[in-house]
Amino acid sequence: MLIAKVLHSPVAHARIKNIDVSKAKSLPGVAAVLTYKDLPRVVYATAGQSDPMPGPLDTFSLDNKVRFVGDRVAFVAAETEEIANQALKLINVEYEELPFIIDPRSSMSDGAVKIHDEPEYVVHDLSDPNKNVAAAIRIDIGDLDNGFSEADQIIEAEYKVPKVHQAHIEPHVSISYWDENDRLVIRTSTQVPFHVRRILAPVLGLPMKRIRVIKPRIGGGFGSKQEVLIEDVVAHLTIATKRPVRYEYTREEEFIAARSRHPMIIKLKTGVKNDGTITANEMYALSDTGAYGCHALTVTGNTGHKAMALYTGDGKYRKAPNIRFYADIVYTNTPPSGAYRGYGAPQGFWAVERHMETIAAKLGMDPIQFRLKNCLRAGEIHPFSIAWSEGREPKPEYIQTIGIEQCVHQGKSAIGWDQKYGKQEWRDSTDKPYLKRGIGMALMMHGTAIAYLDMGGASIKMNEDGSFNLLVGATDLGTGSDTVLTQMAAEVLGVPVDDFIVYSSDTDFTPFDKGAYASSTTYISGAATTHAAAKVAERIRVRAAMILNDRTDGAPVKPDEIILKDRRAHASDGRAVTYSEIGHHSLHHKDQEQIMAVASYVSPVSPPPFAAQFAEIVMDIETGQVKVEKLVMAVDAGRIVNPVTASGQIEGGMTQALGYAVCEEMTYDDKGAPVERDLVDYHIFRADEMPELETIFVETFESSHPFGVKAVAEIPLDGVAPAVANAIYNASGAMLYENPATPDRVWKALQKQKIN
Amino acid sequence: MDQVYIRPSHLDDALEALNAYGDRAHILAGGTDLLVRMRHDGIYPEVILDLGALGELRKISRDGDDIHLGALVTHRQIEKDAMLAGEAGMLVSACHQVGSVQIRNSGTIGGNLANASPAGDAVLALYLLEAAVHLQSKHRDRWVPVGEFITAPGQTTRRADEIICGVRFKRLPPDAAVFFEKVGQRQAVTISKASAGGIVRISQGCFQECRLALGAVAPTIIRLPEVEAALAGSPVSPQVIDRAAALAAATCHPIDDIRSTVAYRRHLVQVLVHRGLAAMVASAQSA
Ligand SMILES: Cc1cc2nc3c(=O)[nH]c(=O)nc-3n(C[C@H](O)[C@H](O)[C@H](O)COP(=O)(O)OP(=O)(O)OC[C@H]3O[C@@H](n4cnc5c(N)ncnc54)[C@H](O)[C@@H]3O)c2cc1C
Repeated sequence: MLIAKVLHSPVAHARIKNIDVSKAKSLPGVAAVLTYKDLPRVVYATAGQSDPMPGPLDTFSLDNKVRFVGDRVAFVAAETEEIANQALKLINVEYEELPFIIDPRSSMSDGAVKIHDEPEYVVHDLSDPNKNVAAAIRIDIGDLDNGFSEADQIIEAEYKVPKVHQAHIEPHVSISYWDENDRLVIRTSTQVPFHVRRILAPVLGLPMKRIRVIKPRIGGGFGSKQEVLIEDVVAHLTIATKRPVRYEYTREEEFIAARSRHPMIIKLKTGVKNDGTITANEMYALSDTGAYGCHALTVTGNTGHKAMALYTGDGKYRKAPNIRFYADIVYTNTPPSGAYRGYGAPQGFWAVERHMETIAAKLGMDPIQFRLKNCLRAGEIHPFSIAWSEGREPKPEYIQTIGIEQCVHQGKSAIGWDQKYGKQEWRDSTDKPYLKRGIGMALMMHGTAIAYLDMGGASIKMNEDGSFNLLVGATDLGTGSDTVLTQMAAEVLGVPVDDFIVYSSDTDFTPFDKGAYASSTTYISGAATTHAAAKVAERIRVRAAMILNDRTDGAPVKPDEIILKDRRAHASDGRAVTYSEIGHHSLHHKDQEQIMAVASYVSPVSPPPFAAQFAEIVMDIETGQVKVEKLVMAVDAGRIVNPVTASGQIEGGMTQALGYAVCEEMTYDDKGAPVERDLVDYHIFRADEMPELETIFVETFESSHPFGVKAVAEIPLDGVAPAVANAIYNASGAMLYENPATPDRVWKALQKQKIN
Repeated sequence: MDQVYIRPSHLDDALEALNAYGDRAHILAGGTDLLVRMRHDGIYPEVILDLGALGELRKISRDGDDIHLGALVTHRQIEKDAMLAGEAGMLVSACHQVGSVQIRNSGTIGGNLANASPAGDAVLALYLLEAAVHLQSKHRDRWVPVGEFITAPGQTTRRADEIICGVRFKRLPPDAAVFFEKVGQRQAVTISKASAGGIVRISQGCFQECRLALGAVAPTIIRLPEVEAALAGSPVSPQVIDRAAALAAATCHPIDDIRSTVAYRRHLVQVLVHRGLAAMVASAQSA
């Protein structure tokens, strides 16, 4: 197998004037060196999303232009990694450097350099490459001006969130080869195997039917692998060499040449009445998509769609909220942003939940009372559902279940809110005068899958011994979804989970599934699996009735009287047929048939999970150091199918979110070169540094799903940062507008607070 | 190129090997710096001389008031030593705050010295203790004060054929109060934005002796001679402490880098020195 390596650009923005690969090619052990001259020029988007792509097409496998430090210049395949690395050094590139943009605030300025000037660029909706705008959003709900005119106070502020990295343990890795039928097989660490096949076919110039994508067991993704990021590299090299090729990102490549969370500058303007009623709420987000527009529209759309939907206002505003969400998602010459667990919502909730805290303080209201007064209630319409749907036709969605008040109630008592909030003795109860305790909270909502779009399929086949093959397109990226989907099928069919042989995510063998994103697998793929199991159960009942009625040792039995339990079909008179008998009977004995069913599911709603996040901290008011001591998250994620995997999602999510809160941040120097390139300079929380975590499930039953579930995967990313910052405010009065809460930043906020 | 790996069991053999290979050899102790650099910066020493089997360099020994730490003594050994807390308390707290338990179990005092990082924690304590570094080669044997041993980030006066065998310092008198604190991006496994340590002796309401050192705010760890001189003989009072902290902040020359800014580092120096002096005064007065 050949090893692939990629030459990455050392400059932020340049045209390749000249590229000479002759020396690299003649190095013994080098099988291929590819540049833009060797590949067909096919424009595409790397975001792993459903058709039609909800964003601009602005990417080529290799181009004659580089747009960020880390962008692709050439591909090499060689017998060993050493030779491949050596070959990279032998490639001679002459760059014609161009002006570059690092700060998104200058992207749209007159005279700014155009990052995408290629004629092949395909615009989507409001994208405008002449202004470096990858996507733009203009959503108006109600009458904003009127809402502001009815307000007693208008509160405005600007917030900022950094770019952050998913830091999955397993890097991106792909292997490709021609199989014995001359079809291209790509085994890849992906969250979206079916999108990989669809998106790559034109890029590779192969009919889709000649490509097979397999997702084996993989080591995490958190959105980073909702991207067709490196599969084209191995595929192009396999096509060029006719040999198997493997490419694995180094940790450094993960930092300089993968995707991360969009940094944003967010302005909020909120009108409130003196009694705490929100009359109008306006957000403007300037979002930095980096050099390419992958996920530009949809991530930032989610920022508004989640964070601006939670507070509609009270009284008459519940029926007629006044909300505006505008955003510009602009290009810069930095590594592209993309999908990162939370998908725009953590950015939005940082701003909204800091803002709510400030408003409550200005009004002299209890911050929790203020939030609950204005937040969505059951039966109300999701305000964005009638205004925006990623460019598709919006259709109304009503909130059915909302356990947010219970989340607040149970979360408060778990963290001891009433004994701590606003209690001077508690705040000062440390062993040093400069250490203060603080407590803070945030509310959040998320979504469960994308309504009318996300589809998952499942098939179930029964074998002679009463075992079942469950085939799902759904992508288990370490989340345990294979287990959870099996649990649902096993529940319907009345067998233990070990009677299932589950196989997932192989474009040749399993039904389609859009992949692991949008917190959808348990809900969408789970519903598909449940429906497939119900169809199989129906055939089993029919067959069991046939067998029992043939026996004539009892009264005639109707299929719908039969109960499936303990690997048997039970008639109401106590007689039963084992699954093994049913399996043999159906395949060998009489009226032979394969008991098998396929089902798919697409949802007309995206029922939001709701949560309350609480944080308790100790901070040093002289140095600005913050130590988070406890995080409590109370979540309404509908019915919990598997408490172990579900609480794992919450705990893992809070761990990542805590990095966003206090120490994670990707920065670039004035030439656009990434500063953090490994896990030494980029701080993620380690197990032994974590504070105490507590997860509370407030179970509701979401009637749109057969098992009553809602999503759990992304919501834990949304609230930790603002809850920690609100706790800092509670401890010290310092107002943070920018995360993470590093000592430097907290110190500056403390200085400001002293002046004011 | 093949790498030569040597792991002698006697110091003489190690010195012999180093004499033969000179700067082609790279010394390996706990490996917590060296292995990171080998992976990260792609350095590939021709010869690795592993000191791991030199049990004689692993000891903490005492001779009267003199304390001797072998070069291979780990941060963890120092942290756990029953007597060091009373003899050189800030060395113990500095070592306790190094990296994580895993790093402290492997990282050595010799490695911390040779590494010559301006943010080195154990080394900062050695500056306060005015320790002498013991260097040995096949032909030579010398002692160098730690402040002269380290010259710049990563630079020391060690010659290519010398091994750091250990450090020696005097135990602190029982009435000395000590202090060490560092500030980083997060609680553990972090490189300091600033660190500070001190030793103070008070008698009859006046500072008798005062030593202060700062880390991560200059190319090497620094002592604060102006502040120390200003304090010596001064009466113990809040105003004196305020002034000393302000002087410390004014006389240090921190830099902007990816870990922090000048303004914040200067502020930290002021806070840490102030806090350190106040804490030492409190502990001296309660003793
Ligand atoms: C995750 C992590 C966290 C860290 N945190 C801290 C921290 O908080 N504070 C801190 O001060 N340091 C920290 N360090 C740095 C490091 O652990 C210390 O500097 C440690 O003391 C180095 O000792 P070592 O034995 O591992 O050195 P090695 O890696 O073995 O050697 C380091 C250098 O010293 C030379 N050397 C070692 N021993 C001798 C000798 N006897 N004679 C001559 N030359 C010698 C080597 O040739 C090499 O150049 C951290 C490192 C890591 C990886």
